[in-house]
Amino acid sequence: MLAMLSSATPAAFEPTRDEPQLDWDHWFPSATALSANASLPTTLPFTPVEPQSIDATAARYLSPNGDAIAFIYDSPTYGRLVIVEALPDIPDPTMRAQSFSNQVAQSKLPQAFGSASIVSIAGEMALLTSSEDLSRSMVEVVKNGVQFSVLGPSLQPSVVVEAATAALGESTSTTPPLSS
Amino acid sequence: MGARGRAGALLITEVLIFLVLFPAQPAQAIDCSVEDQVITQMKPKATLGKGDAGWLYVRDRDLGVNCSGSAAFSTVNIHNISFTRWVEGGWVEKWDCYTCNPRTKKWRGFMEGMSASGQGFGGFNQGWSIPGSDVGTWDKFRINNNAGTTLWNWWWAEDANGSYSEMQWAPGGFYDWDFGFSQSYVFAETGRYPAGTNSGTGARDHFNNLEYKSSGWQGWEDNLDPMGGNYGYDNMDGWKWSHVGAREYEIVSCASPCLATIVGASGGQSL
Repeated sequence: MLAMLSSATPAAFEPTRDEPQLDWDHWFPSATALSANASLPTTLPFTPVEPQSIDATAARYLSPNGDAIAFIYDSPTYGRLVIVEALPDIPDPTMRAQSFSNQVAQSKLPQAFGSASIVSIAGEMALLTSSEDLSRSMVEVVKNGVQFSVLGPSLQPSVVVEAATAALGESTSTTPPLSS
Repeated sequence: MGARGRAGALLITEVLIFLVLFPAQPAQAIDCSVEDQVITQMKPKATLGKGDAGWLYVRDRDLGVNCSGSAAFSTVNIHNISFTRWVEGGWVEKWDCYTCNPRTKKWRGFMEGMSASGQGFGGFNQGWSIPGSDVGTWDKFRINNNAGTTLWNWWWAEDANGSYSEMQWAPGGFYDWDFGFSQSYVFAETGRYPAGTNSGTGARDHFNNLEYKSSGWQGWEDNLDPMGGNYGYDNMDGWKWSHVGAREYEIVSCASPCLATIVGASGGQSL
């Protein structure tokens, strides 16, 4: 969303680098709340997976079209943690790997802000992105045909990698140095 | 004071007014700057909310002296299914040369892509000059995914039926950007001054024909409910989308609270 600055002088606006309007409480616009005790819905176009090893109970929400699910935690270890599951944005693994590499390369260009790097989560190639000040991060990884996006409003890169590794149930993470 | 004196005083007054209106404009260009905006976003049709691209018509208008009545920017943006990534193209009107005869104006376009981590990119394009007399016509903007890839780019067409030009939105010859997804929800968005500061309705909050292409790249389809059933999903009390007719919408003020016609941001019903 466009960030507007003072109107005192011409050219007083620029593309956003500020906080977008993210809803960390429900994640999706017009989300549908699911009961915490109910079984995971069977109407999703993929088989959802209950994230593992997160030390809190998740609030669950469905996306407006019922094609994605968000698990929202208040974890003593990670703080507010959001895990979104959906069909992969890029179904083809080769194309996905190429796109991850492209995004890492783009993150070093002058028009970019924040950082991007490739990491391994649960034995899968994953994309780790972070804000300019590294205070907020996200891991995106596809496993067994489901795309997991693990993120939070205040998660540093190493912490989100740890959370994603815990959530996906394996501890095979290796974290190369972040790009800058 | 004689006639020459009055004429001289009048000339000085005009010069002073001009300098006040346009204090520093070496290129005689004027940005229609904005501040303290609220944003509302057009919700896509639930059943047709996925698309490869979004077309949006915006209406040219007279910007007035020093952009008087200028109120907002507009964008078309596309989110991925997880709502963790989005790519957005937008524009702000500006006078390209106010003192020229004839005057010219520009759409100042930008493109940006963001992920929910705060990582992303952004850049502006100064656009092309449009005659200042071009008022009431519909220009057309498109944010586009290159079929079969995760590359995105940004297009503009003057007067709707003209030829489309790709906007080079970043230095170094960049037109395309890989943003890791290829299709999903298509939105239109506009910003407004808070009520009372500048409530003029401009081209930028007057939308028409938001369309999308399905994943198979079939023909363009309506994204908005022609019956006027789509409302902004951002909850901006005091503003609402108004169905003008056919597939045309504008955003208008409403007495607070006017949430009944604006779908809340989230947290809907429970199952």
